[in-house]
Amino acid sequence: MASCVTCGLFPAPLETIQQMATRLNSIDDTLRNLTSILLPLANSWDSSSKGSSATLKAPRTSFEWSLSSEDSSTAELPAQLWERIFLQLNARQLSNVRQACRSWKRIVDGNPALVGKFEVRFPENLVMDREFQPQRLLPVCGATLKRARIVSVETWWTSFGANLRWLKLGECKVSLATLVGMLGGTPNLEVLELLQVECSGICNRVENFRLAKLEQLTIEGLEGGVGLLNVFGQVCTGLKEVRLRVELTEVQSERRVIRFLQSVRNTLEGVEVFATAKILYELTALKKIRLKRAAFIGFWIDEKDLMEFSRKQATLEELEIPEVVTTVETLNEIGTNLPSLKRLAVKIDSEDAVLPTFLANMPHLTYLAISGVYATHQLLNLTAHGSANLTELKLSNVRVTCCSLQRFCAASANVRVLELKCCAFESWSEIFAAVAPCRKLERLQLDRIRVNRSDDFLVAYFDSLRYLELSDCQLSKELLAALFALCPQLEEVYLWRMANFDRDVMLRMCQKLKRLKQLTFNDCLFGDDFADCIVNQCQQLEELNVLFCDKLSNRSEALLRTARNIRLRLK
Amino acid sequence: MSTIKLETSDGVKFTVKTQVAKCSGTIRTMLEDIGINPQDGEAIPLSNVHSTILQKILVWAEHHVDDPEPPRDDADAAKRTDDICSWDEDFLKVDQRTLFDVMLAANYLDMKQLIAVCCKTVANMIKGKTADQIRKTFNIENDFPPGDEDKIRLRNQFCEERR
Repeated sequence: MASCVTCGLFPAPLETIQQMATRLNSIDDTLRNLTSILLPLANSWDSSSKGSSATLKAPRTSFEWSLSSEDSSTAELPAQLWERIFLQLNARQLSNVRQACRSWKRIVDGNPALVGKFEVRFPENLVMDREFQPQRLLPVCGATLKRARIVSVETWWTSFGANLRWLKLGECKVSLATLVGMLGGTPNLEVLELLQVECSGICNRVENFRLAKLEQLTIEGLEGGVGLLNVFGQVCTGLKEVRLRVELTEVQSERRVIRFLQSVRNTLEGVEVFATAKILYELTALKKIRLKRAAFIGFWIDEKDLMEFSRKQATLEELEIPEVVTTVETLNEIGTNLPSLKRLAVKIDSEDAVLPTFLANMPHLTYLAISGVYATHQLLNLTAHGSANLTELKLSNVRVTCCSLQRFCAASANVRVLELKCCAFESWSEIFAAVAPCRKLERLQLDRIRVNRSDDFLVAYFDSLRYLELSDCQLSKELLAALFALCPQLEEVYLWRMANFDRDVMLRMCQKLKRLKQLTFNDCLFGDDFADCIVNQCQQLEELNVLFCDKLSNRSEALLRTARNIRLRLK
Repeated sequence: MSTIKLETSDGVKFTVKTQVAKCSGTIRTMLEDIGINPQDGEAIPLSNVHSTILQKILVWAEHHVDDPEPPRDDADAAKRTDDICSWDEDFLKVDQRTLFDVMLAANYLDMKQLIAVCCKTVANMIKGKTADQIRKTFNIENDFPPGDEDKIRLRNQFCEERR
C-alpha cells in the first residue's frame, strides 16, 4: 500500500510543503471517496461469503466508513494531555470539567496541581460539632472557615486535614484546646491565617506534634489569643514568615511576642509586628537572626532605633514602615545600611518639598511606596530619581510637583503597577502623559485624585494595561470615554463613586474593551440599560459586581442572570 | 541545505529540511544522540503518525522554525490562553478529530510549543461552558449514575477558586 509520494514531488523546492499538503489532501479525499464506493461492495461481498474478518462482519454504512478519520468518539487523549489542558483552567471551569464524566473527574481529583486550585470554603456560621460530618470532601490543599463555631474536631478532620497546605480561620469561635487539636491533624500545613479568631481558655499541655512545614503564620486581632503564641513557639520548627497584627496593650503580651520571636528566630526571615520601642529594641538585640523582610505597624518607634535596627540587619531586602514619620536624612542612612533593599514603604513629613534623594542609595528597589501625612498635602518632587529596576510605585497623600512624575516615569520604564491615592496633580493630562513612557504598565489605580486644571486630552495608548481602578475622580465624560478607547487590553475595571460615569461612557467602554473579564461598580450609577450594554457588548465578561448601587431592576437582574455564564455579585 | 526523510505509519515518505524536522524533540534526539545519519537516505520511521497529520505538522514547523526558544517555566505564559498568535489560531481551525490527532502526534514527536498551543486551544473550548455544554462539545457521555451528578454539584459548592 505504501506510495512513495516523495518520488513524484521532489526534488521540488522545499518551500512548496504547503502546496504538497494541499495536493496530499486532495489525494486523500479521492482515496476516501473511493473507499466509500468500494466498502459497500466489500460489505455485500463479505456478508454473502461468510468472511472471517471481524471488522467487516457487522454491516456498516458507507457513511460511517467514509467519516472514519473524523470518528465521533472523540475526547480520546491520554490523561497526561488532558491534565495539561485542565491546568489552563480556573477552579470554576475545572469544577464543570469534574462534572462532565467519571474519567475526567478522576483526572482532576488525581492531580495535586489541579486539586490545588480548589479550596474548600465551608458555609458561614457553621457549627462544627459531633453532628457535623461532611461527606466525601475533595482532598484539597486549602480550606477556609468563616464565622464558624468550632466545638469539637472529629475523625473526618484527620483525613481532610492531612492534605491541607493552607488553612484560614476568620472570625471563628474556638477554644484554645480545640484549636490545638485541629492543628494536630494538619501536619502538612505551610500557611496558617487566624484572623479575628476568638480563642478562649488555656492550653498548657501541647500535644506531641510539630508543624514542621509551617512557613507562614498570620495572626490578626486574636482576642485573648496571645497565649497561642506559646503553642506556636513550641510546635513551629521551620517558621519563616510571621505576621502579628495584634495590638499590644499589655506589657505581658509584649513579653510573649518577644519570647515567641526568640523561639523561632533561627528560621525566621520575615516579620510583621505592631512594633513598640521595646519590641524593636529586643529584635535589634537578638542574635542569630537574619531577616530579609521587616514591616512595622504603628508609629511608636523612633527613627534612631530604626537606624540601629537597619545597621544590625544589613541583609534586609524589604522594609515597610508606613506609619512611622521619617525624614529624608534617616532614609539616606537606612539606604546606606541596607545595600540589598528591594522594597520600601515610608511616610514622610516636611514643610518643604521633599526630594527623595535616598533613592540614589537604593539602586535595587523594585517596590516603592511613599506617603505624606495628610491628603494631597506633602509636596514631593520626584524629578531626578527614576529607576529602571522599579516595577511598583505607590504614592499617597502627596502633591506631586509639576512634570516631576513624568520625568520619574521616563527613567522607570519597567513600572508595571502604579497606584496614586489622595494625590494632587496639575491636570489629568499631566498624569496620563507621565504614565505613557511606562510601556509595561499593567495596573493603574487612581483614587481620590485632585487636579488644578481640567485641560482634558489624551495622546497615548496604554497597550499593556490590564487593570484600571477609578475611584472618586472627577474626570469628564469625554475624558473617560477617550481613556477607555486608549486601553484596549483592559481585563478588569473597578469603579467607585464615579459621578460622571453615565450611559454614554458605559456604552463606549463596553464597545471598546473586548477583553473585559471583570467589572465592578461600587457606589456608582448602574443604569437600567447597563445590563443590555453588558449582554450585547462584553462577550468575555466573567464577573460583574454591583455593590452599594441603586437596586437593579428585576428586568436587568433577570437579563444578567440568564444571558450568559457571568458570575453576578450584588450588595 | 541538508534534508532528511521521514516515513509515516501509512508508508508515505517525506523529505524535510533537517532544521524543520528538528522542531521535533524526538527526531532531534534520534539525529543527535543516537546518531542516525540522515545522509544514508534511510527514512526515519514515525510509526505513530499518519501522513495527513504529518503534513499539517510540517506546515506548522516550517512556519515556526525560526522562533526563539521559549523562556522556561514562564508561569504567566502558561496561565494565559488568549495569547495564541493569529497564524496558529487559523492553523488550528480544524475539526476536533484532526486537532486531537495533531496533539497526539505532537506529543509523540515531542514538540513542546505545538502541544502548548493545542492545549490552550482545547482549554478555550472548555472555558465559559457548563458541564452539559462541555459534554456536547467533546461528545462525552454522562457516565455518572443518576443522582450522583447532583452530589458532585453539591460538593462543588463547597469548593471555590483560590484567591
